[in-house]
Amino acid sequence: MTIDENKISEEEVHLLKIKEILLKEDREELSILRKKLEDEEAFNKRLTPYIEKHIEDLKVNFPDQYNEMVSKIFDEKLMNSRQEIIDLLSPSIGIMIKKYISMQFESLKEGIDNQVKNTFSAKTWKTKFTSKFYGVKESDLILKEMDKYQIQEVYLIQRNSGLLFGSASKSVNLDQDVIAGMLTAIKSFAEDAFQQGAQDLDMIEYGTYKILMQNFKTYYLALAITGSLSAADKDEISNNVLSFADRYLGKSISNIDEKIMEEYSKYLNEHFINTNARNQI
Amino acid sequence: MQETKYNISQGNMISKKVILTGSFGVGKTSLFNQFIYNKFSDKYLTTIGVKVNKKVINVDGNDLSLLLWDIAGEVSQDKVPTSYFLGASGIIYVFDLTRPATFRNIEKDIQYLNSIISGGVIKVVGNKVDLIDLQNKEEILTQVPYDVDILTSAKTGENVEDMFSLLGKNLIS
Ligand SMILES: Nc1nc2c(ncn2[C@@H]2O[C@H](COP(=O)(O)OP(=O)(O)OP(=O)(O)O)[C@@H](O)[C@H]2O)c(=O)[nH]1
Ligand SMILES: [Mg+2]
Repeated sequence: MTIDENKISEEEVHLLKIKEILLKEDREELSILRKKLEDEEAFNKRLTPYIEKHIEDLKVNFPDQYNEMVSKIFDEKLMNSRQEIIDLLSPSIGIMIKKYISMQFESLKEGIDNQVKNTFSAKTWKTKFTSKFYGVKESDLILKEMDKYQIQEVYLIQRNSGLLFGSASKSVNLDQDVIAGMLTAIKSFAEDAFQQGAQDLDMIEYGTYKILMQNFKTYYLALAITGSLSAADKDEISNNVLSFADRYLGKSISNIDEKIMEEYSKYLNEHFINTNARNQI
Repeated sequence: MQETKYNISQGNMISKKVILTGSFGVGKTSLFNQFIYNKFSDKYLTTIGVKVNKKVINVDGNDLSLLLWDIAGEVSQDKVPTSYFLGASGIIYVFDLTRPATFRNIEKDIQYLNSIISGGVIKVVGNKVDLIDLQNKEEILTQVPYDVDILTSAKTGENVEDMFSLLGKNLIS
């Protein structure tokens, strides 16, 4: 340190000199310390063991000390982004399910193809011929023949109340009103519980029955079907339902009485049940 | 060709949807069973989801088909899908005369139900009347923060038919 003797008084000069003598050692030590601190590498070298020790410590004790706090934050985040998570997951879950189903289908068809190879009945030859001729896979033809779908029962139901507008069935069934109510309850429950946009429940499987449902604004049609249903079959049924709606369901009904039920039951019978029976003869 | 059956009618009967609601264990299912099957059981089997059944009653010479929805009792209303109530013409709100907790929220509940089925008929029913004596009856009724339409017992059958007839009358008029 240099002293500008022109600017300060003599007394001060003395004072500074005394300071210099007295503090000399301390000042030297300070400058060594400063150098040590400023030398980054050396500093790191000295500090690293402590940091490492602390990290080790955290590894062992972190769950105890921070678990509650972290899981609280995590819970909150999860709650806030439930919808996003569902949106994120559902497509891939859908894909997984689709994959699984098509796999099952493949193995089913494989089984049938094998059976075809081993059977030489006249019927098989006929099927083989048809399949060569039309270019359809034999297994598809056999599947179709075995299990053509049949509409067993049909219900026309008011959407909100679940009250029956009309119904028709191949066999005697006394509880149509109750079935219509329960179907509606199940439908409401499913649509409420798995609210995803404006999706409607459109099929229920029960034992060998499949119940297809097609929604319109104030009513829906439910068809109980036996046999196997391909996508094309579903399409066919859906078109059939649309043509029924187009033909008979123009006006809106508020009070359901027996006259109305009788009328619609007749229409349903002619459109879905008896036609179906006729086609099969 | 096989003959197909469909609904055939004589009169011109109207169908109406009616909901039984109220806290768990108040006796909704018991009232339903007493009314439809004339049966009562001391066992408590809580209803899961909903059960639908039908009974035709006669109101002033006209047949009326009641489709009764017996729904599971929940402490909080938002656990029951709102859609169950849609399209209902009548609601029977049941509480248990022996359990104040089942009628404490009656006002709020009725307000909520009214908002879902505007214009529908709501009947407030105090059940298990067989369990309280005459003296207590007055005392309890002063505690109920709402006008009670009828007191019933699903066990003895007291007023059960009458309760549904009363509702039926209101539904038709
Ligand atoms: N003494 C008496 N007991 C009754 C009466 N009504 C119902 N109980 C009894 O109360 C219990 C509950 O009756 P439930 O009819 O199952 O009640 P709930 O309202 O359908 O109940 P949840 O389905 O759970 O909502 C049963 O043990 C019944 O036997 C009544 O009028 N008198
Ligand atoms: Mg019950």
